[in-house]
Amino acid sequence: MKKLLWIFGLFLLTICLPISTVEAKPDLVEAWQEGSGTSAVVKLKWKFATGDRLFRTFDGDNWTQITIPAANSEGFVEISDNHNGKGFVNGSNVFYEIRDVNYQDAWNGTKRATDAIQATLKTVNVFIGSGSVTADNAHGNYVKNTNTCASCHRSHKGQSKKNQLLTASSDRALCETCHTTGQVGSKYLVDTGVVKYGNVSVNSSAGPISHNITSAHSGKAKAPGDSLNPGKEWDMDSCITCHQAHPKDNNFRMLKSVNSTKDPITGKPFTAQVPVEAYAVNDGTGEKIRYKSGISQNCSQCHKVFDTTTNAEGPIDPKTGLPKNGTTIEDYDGESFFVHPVDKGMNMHGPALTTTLPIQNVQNIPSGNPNDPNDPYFIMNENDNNKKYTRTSVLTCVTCHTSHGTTVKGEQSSSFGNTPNSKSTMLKRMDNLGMCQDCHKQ
Amino acid sequence: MKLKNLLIILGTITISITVFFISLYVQKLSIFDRMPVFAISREITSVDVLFSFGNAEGEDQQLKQPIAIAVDSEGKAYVLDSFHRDIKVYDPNGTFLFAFGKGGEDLLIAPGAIAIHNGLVLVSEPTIGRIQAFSTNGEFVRTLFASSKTEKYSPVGMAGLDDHLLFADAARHQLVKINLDGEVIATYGSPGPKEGQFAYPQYITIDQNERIYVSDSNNGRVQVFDEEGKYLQTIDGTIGEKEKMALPRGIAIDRYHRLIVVDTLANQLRFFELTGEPLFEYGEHGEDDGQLSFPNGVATFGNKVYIADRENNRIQVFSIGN
Repeated sequence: MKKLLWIFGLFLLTICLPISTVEAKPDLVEAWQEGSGTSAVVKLKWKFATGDRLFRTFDGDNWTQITIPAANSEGFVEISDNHNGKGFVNGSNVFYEIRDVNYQDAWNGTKRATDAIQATLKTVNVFIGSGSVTADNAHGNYVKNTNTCASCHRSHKGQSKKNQLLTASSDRALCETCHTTGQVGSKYLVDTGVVKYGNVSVNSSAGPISHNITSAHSGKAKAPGDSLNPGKEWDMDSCITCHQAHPKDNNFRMLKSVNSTKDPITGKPFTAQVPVEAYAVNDGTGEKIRYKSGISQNCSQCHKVFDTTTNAEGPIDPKTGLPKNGTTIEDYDGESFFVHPVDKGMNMHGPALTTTLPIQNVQNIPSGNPNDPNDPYFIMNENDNNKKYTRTSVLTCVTCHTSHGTTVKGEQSSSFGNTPNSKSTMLKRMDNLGMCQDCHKQ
Repeated sequence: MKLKNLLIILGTITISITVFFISLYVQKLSIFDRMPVFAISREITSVDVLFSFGNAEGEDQQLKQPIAIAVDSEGKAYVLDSFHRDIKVYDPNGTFLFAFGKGGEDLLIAPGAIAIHNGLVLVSEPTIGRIQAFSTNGEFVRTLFASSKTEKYSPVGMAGLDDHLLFADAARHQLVKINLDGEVIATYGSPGPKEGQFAYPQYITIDQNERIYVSDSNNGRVQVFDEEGKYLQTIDGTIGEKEKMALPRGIAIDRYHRLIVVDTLANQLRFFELTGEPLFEYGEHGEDDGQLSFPNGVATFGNKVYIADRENNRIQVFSIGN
């Protein structure tokens, strides 16, 4: 009997051990493209969980739910999305979300940018006709071939302990292998600030980081207005100061999520990780960025003083839920000064305004009467497919500044630079102060 | 009975040999490609560092981030300096001679790759969508190819095929064949990971049997085509439980009919039979002689292999035998 028990025990062990050592499958969504043009189909495959719903968008505003078929015997579902028979334009960007059972529809629109909400989503960005439609590369995951981790990392002889045991002494060298004009391993070419694909080549929203620049985020530098990290020098030659190489949040441009103490939309007190939510809207003829939320919080991790909503104590407009005051006083280094507001509702009145500058949170909703001084809506519909800018639309840092570099003219003295009265074009989007006139048109 | 057996054996041998040669013909291979055991070069399982140039202290016109190289029939090396956006020319000993492409008519805006064909130095500009032709003295000759307003291409690596030129198009993920008037004759491939498809193809080389090798960079492989663009095979380095290539870029064929592939992210040179059989790998990351830091382009001349060692800001020259 004892022998029998031993044999049975060993038998159980034999069965259980291999099962216990089977590697858990990662929470992965596979995506690929079949066909092209009007016959293009995007395929998605993932392990289905009860309550999963699939949505597609091109701009972050209009989401279309896609029917999910029954799972196979292993629990996987495979979707074929042909865009209602229309196919997909080469070069266009398509965004999918798999929303799990905990996702609440009330989060749609402008209230989705917190880490808690993001945790209920699996996001897949598909670049149609790009050769590799999803990020099945360094920015996605190498589950299919983990040997390729060794392309950039090594476990025992890294060149830099702070840089995740990279084989290179600089992460920038890794990034430049694909993201520069001469080497074209991606459509995002940062040296010249170009987005290049198919028949289209457009200037990127971030601008050039090294070519023909008059100012850029580069070198080791203190950030003007950095009250959070006094005296700290940031390595702006390191791409991973701002970006993640392997994004867990699938943020826009793989920007890092940041700790924020205010709601990314209303500016009200709030503590959470805030992802940058934006969509590179691309119909195959160009790429325009639809900023949804989080971009100014990202900048303010270093340039906190310029984030006016942080210290904004002005009265809240009950209609908009946003601070009423247009400008605000900041305290920094014992000095008080006024700053042009960002992340505040543009509840201006009077004639309709137009601008070519990027505004956060534009939506396709009916506009109010721009000539009615009591109506806080106003319209700026230039250069963005007639999108209406509403009272919840806000200026952000990137409305006036690029994030990589600029080629514009018109240096100005900086009162915040490392050297007093040093001159710079300060990453501006237009020559001199063209941005003022682009909105205010005096 | 014995005669019958003999006839069967002879017949079998004849059929086997016939099938063997038919397979060679179909695959556009020579008998030596299939019988590497007879090639003395197969005993060479490494390379030796000869010298490097372009980054010596005090050297005039130092290289910064060289990404491509071509060597002419006299052994002069034409190096694409991606940071300075010009072409620097060196004699066979690595002594700087002159540079071109920096201004005036021959201005290069955003050069990506370089090749020599029919006595012309060809420089591709992927984001401009054109190929500029220079003499070997660096004089601008003409724009060999330019994208139209409606049909834009991103030419990277180029290779001459008779009176045509092939280039890898990184925008549309295809191979493009043009005549020497710059007219597109044919295109091969489409975006994707399947056979005959590409993801950011980069460099091209052609063997003596006019088989076309394309580094299909973001798919981590080299694809082989016949001269009509028909897909023949894939070389990804995985035969014999070896690792798949991470990011193949520069490719060339050496004097011993071996395919050399520069795996940029692995900081390695990988040597293959033209059949795709892996031979050996060379290199590791570093800045010492023989080490590499993001190597990119490759060229061969005689028994020398030239590597554009990008982040070491130099060209390294290796010996591949006598």
